[in-house]
Amino acid sequence: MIRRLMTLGAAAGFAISLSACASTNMEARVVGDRPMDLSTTEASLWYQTDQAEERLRASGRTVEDPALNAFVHGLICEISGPFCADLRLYVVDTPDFNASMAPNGMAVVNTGLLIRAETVDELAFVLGHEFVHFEENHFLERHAAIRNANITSSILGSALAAAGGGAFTSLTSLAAYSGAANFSQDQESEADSKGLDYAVAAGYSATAGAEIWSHFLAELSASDLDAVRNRRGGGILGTHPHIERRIEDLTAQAETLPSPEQDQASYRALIRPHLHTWLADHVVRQDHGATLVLIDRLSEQGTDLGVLLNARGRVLVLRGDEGDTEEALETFQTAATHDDAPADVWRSMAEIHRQAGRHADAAAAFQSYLDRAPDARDRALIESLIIDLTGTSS
Amino acid sequence: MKQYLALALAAISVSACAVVPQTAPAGILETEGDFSVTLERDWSRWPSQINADTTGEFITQDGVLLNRVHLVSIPDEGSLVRPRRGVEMPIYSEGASEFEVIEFVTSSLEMIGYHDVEAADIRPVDLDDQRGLRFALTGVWQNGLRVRGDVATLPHDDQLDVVLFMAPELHYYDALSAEVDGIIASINHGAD
Repeated sequence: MIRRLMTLGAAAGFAISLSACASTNMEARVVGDRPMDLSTTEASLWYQTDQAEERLRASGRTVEDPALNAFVHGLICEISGPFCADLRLYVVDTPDFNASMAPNGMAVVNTGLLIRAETVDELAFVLGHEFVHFEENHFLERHAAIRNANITSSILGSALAAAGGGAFTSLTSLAAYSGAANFSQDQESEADSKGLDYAVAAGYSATAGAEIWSHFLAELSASDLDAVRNRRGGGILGTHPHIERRIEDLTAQAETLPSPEQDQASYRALIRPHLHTWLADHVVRQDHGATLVLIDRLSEQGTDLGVLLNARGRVLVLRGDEGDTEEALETFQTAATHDDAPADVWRSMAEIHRQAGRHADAAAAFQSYLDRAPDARDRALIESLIIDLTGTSS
Repeated sequence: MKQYLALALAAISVSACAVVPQTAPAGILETEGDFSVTLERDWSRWPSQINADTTGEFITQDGVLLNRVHLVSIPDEGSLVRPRRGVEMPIYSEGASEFEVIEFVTSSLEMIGYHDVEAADIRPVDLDDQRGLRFALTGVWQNGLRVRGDVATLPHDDQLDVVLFMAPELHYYDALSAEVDGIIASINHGAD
C-alpha cells in the first residue's frame, strides 16, 4: 500500500513539475503595444478581440450619446494616462453590471454599470479596476492559466491512471482547475487594489470602491433568482473573490487614502436622459427583488422620482403578489405628482382601474395618457378602449 | 454480415427521426397550433422540432434569416421562447391585457437575439370574428441588421394565437408585407 502511494505521489509530483514549466506571468504592457509575431497565442487572442470589436461596432447595441461617450472616454483617459490613445470606448446597451478592457484596447462599459454608479468616483473605481486588467495583461495570463490547468489535468490524470490511481483522476482535475480559479481571484484582488489607487490618483474618492460593491451586493442578495444570488462570488471554482471580502479589503485600503466629497447630482444629470429606458431594461428582466433594491437606492437622492416611481410601479404590477396592485396604484399616483413622470404612468393607472372594473376612472386615466402622449403608438388601441369603457369616443 | 445489417437498420431508424423543412403548399395550412391560415402560394415550412430558440413553427420564402412567419398557439403559462434551465422566460398568462401581450412579444424577441424591439401602430382588430390585436415591430438583429415585423395576436380558449412576421427592413419586409396581411386575415379556428 505504501509503495503504491509513493508511486502515486511521484506521478503527481512529476505532472505538477511539468505544468509549472509553462509560465503564466506576462510583463505589464507598454504604450502602443501590439504583438508583432503573428504566430503567437497572444496575436491570436488579439485577432479574436479585433473580430469581436468589429461585431460590436456593427451590432447596433452601442449607445450613441456624444456627451455620455465623451465623458466616459475622458474618465478612462484620466485613469489610464498615456494608454488613453490605445483604448477605444463602447457604451453597450445591456443591463448587466459590467465593464471590460480587452487586450486589443476595446473598452466596453455597460449601461448596467452606468445606472448603478451613483457618482463619477464609483465609475472611476470600476474603470481603474478594468484598466489594471488591461495594463497587467491579465486576460492573456488567465488564458495561459486555463491552458496550464488543461495540461496539468490531462498529465496528472494519465500519470495517476498508469500508477493505478484512476479513481483519483477527477480530483486531480478539480485541483488543477481550482488552481486556475484561484489565479483569477488573485487577479481580481490585484485589479481592485491597484484600480482604487489609480482612481484616487486621478482625484476620486477612495471610499467609492467599497460603496459600489456594497450597492451591488445588496442587489444580488435581494434577487429572486438563485443563479443571480450565487454571483456573490467565492467558492473553490469561483473566478471572482467573494464580494464581501472585496468590500472588506477596499474599505481597509481606503482608510489610508483621501476621500473627497462625492457629487451625486452631476453624475445623475449625465445619465438622466437614459434613466427611463435603462430602468425599463431592468424591469422586463422580472428579477423583481433586485430591481426594487436598485430603484429604491436611486430614489434616495430625491430626484427623478416620476421616472423612478413609474419603474417601481411596473415592477409591482409584474410581480403581482398580494397587495402589489394596490401598492402599484399608490406608487403611480405619487409618480404622477412629479413633473418628470412619463405618460406611461397614466396608462398604467388606467390599466389597474380597468382590471378592477372602475370604468370611469380607467377611461379618465387613458384620456390623460393620450393628452400627454398625443402621438402614442397605441393611440388607436387606447381610443378603442375608451369607447369600450364609456360608450363614447374621446 | 448480420452485424452490418443490424447497423444499417439502426442508422435508418435514427435518420427517420430527423425533421427537415417541408413544403407548405398554397391553400389552407393547418398549423401546429389551434388555427389554420390560407397561403396564396407555396412556402417552406420549418416545424417546431427544428426551431431551436422559440416554440411553434415558421414558414418562410427565402430562409428564416431573410423572412419568417411564426405561427404558434401559446398556452396559459407558456412561453414563445423555448424554455432554458435557470433562465426566466417571458410567460403568457390567460387574461393578459393588450399591453402585457405586447410586452410579452417584444421581450421574447429581445431574449432570442433582437434588441431595441419596439411596437408601433398598435390597434384592435377583428380576426375570425373575435377581438384580437395587431401591431408593427421594429428592431435590430444581433448582427446589426435592422428588421421590421407585423404581429397579430388572438386570445382563443386559454391560449394566445400568434402570427409573427419578421424580415430585414431593406427589401424583404416590403416584399412580403401585403401577403402576410392576407395570411393574418385568414386566421381560422374552424368549427369550435
